[in-house]
Amino acid sequence: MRSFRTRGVVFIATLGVALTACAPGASPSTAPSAGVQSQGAGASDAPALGGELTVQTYGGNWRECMTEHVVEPFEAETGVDVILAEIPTSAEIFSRLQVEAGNPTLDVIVMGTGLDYNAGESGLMEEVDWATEAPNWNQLTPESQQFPKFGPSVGATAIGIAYNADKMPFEPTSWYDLFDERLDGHVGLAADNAFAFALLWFMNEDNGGTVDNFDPGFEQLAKLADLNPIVYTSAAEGETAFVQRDMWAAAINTPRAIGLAREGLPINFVYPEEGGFVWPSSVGIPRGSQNREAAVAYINTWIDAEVQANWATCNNLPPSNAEADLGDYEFADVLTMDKAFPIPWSDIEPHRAELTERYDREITSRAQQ
Amino acid sequence: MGRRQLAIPGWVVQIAPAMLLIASLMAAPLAIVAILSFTTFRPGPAEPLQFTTDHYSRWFVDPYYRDVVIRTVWLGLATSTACLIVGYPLAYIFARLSFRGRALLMFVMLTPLFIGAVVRSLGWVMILDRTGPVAVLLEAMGVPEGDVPQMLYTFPAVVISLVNVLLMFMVLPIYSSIRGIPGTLEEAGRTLGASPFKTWAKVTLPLSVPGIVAGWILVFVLSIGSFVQPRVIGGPSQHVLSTILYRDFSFSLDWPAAAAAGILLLVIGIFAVVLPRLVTKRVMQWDVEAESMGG
Repeated sequence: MRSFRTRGVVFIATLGVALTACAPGASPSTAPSAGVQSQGAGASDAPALGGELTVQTYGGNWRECMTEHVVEPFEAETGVDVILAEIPTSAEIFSRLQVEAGNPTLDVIVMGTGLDYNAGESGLMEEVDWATEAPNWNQLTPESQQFPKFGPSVGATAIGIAYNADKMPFEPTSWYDLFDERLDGHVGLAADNAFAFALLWFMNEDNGGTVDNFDPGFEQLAKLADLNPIVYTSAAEGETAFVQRDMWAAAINTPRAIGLAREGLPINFVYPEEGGFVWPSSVGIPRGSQNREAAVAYINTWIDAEVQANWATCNNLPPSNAEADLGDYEFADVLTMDKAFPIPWSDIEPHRAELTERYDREITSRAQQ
Repeated sequence: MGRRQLAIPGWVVQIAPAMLLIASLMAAPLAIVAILSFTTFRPGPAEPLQFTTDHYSRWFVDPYYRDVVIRTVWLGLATSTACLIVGYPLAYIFARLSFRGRALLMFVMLTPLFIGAVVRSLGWVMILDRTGPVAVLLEAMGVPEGDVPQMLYTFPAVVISLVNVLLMFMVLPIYSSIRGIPGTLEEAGRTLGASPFKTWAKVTLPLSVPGIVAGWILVFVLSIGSFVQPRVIGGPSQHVLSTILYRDFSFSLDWPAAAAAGILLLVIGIFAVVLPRLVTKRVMQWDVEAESMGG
């Protein structure tokens, strides 16, 4: 009897372990957004829809700003229950999109750095006549309408030079100022991320290279690699490097630079005279979404001028709606796409793998020798 | 004559469904990954798939990738060896000595496991960076600022961070092994005139080899598969298989290349498990043969 009981316990325990291991992994946060409060200003005229909508989000400030300025007004207007699914990188989202093709678990996703272009061209996204179905599309800047097969931009990633005003021996005005020998050991070098590609593309274009010949770009960046740079593989690492690792100047995006300034650090942000780099954070609907109507309404809300103004000042991204008025916001002068030019991800995307490998071999390996 | 009936133990029957479930959910994905690694698949606009071995040949033909494989294996060897050198004395102390604070010391040594890998690695970045406390200490000791060696983004830094977290995976098997050695054997050695060191070398050490092998295999496999430490502390100049896999999958979107890296990592891990056991078994066979011949 005791033997049978023991074996029974072993059986149940083993089965329990197996089933637990096989249980579908919950997203880090799939809780419904809090509250159904009417936010008043900022909400668009979305139809009353009800039901649920699963929206992908990044973490941190992005999620907080989206919840406050997009989700809650939308829920109040439409009665739709928005469920946020936190997925931190475009690559993970793209993988999921690929695997779930036609049967998505997400209704609204945001991607950038060329993956939005890739996904749109691959037929993974729902076909939407944005101009008709989401009228706020017609108020967007041309840069924000770059990838209609994916969707509109909800804010641009804008890259310029962030620098420590107390430590920099000069005020940078050009991308080539990053190559100044006085910055030896204190200049940042992006690696394995979109910032790296952006600077590589610019250096290549500016030094006679083409999309089929990146040799000039690599030759130029090799000079930066010889300055004992501080290598960072993400915007967050770059932000930390300013604080922890005595980095004086680097190519960084507006949210990180403004975030540091808001923390009280002497960090300034400038767009170089050649222009900064900008690309869209595109929002779209995976093909086969069961909540298409609500998803389109959600996106239309997100690109509304008033919502965009609130979203931009909260998240420190240049707004995508040309009518968005940032008022007297302290950093309004850098939250613009006028001083930056778009990175042609559609040209870079076919060469992504080879450029990544070459960048590792010739630039980051050289930088850390 | 009656037919022989196969006697299947009852407990095997009871856990079989769960084990089949696990085996199918591991074997099937592994098979998919292996097949993917021999194709030219790219996520994005559909293109005809072709068979290729390029994703494997690069690891042996291209010096850059060959270095990555060598560095990966070397990382496993260095971490295991360092853990053994530090861990064996600790295991012996825990197993054979009784002192106040023993349990507390063991708990303290387990604490790195309570902290997430990313947080732990960022801590090492702050410690080893050129503006960190180690650099400050060296400068205080008289080393000129420009002569303070680069500590971060080096191979030793990755090894140190891995030893920090994997040490207990070496200590515990050895501890268990030593605890299993009857104290009377060591006492007999000392009674017969052997010094404490000779007693340890001739009695304790050989009998603790199973624990050493188990710990060594565990640390080796865990270290070659580690990702956070090589990425955060080693950086792009200290690429190992796991970081290349991540780069190929996440940034290059070269899924077959990432799959091949994963399969290669698995093969190395299998070798690491099988080879030491074969060697140990062979060595022990030689010992038995030598003893039986009066050697």
